[in-house]
Amino acid sequence: MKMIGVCACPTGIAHTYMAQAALEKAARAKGHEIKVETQGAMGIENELSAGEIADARVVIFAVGVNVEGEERFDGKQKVTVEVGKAIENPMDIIQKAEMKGMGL
Amino acid sequence: MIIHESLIELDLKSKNKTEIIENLARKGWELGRIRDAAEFTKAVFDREALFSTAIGYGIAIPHGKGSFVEEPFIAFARSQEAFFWDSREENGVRLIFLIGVPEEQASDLHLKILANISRGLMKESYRRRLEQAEDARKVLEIVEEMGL
Repeated sequence: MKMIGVCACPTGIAHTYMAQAALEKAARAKGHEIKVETQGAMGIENELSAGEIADARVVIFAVGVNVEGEERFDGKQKVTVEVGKAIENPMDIIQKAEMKGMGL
Repeated sequence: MIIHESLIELDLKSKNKTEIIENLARKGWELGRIRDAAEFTKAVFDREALFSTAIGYGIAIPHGKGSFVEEPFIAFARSQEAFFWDSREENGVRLIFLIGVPEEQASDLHLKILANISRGLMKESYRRRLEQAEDARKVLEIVEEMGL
């Protein structure tokens, strides 16, 4: 399944990138394609294109602050979790995303 | 470099979060990475109060950002036994990374290194090597490798 994600946290120094790595690892372990945009102290990196957003079945927001450009994801299936949860239990989040992506 | 041998404590005795943060902050201050240790620790505690920086995997990453930080740094402490970082945390912590970054002048290079180290911590192999490192020099090597 094609998944996308956005990670962001208040200081944008560490959690954002840990959550990115954790979600990528968990998604790939389950055979999914994933791309995760980070909104941290370095600004937006690994930015999702309109095409990638359109192609994705589900978007995961692992955030502790507002998502910049949230309107880009209007109409998508979404799973929103606190950034710490994505780091600690990435597999749970990916499973939730699978369900959402299947329209359950 | 963002980490330094004098910022590494391998045989942490304390199991008290406040004490640990203060001790690591003192190391940062002694090395001239922090201008004002009191202000820095206050920022770190404020950040902790927001939500715990114990993120599972036996790791806590307290951090503070502000003009009281002179130069970005990571201080590292390792406890022989796992302990509870705070009342909200359910798993034990053994590895503590205290991170400080200046308000605005943090260069992208330093932030990139910190981001790489953060991603690296999600890899079990790095965590295991940090748990087993025999001395500060070895920790330095591992963290530098993670930052690349």
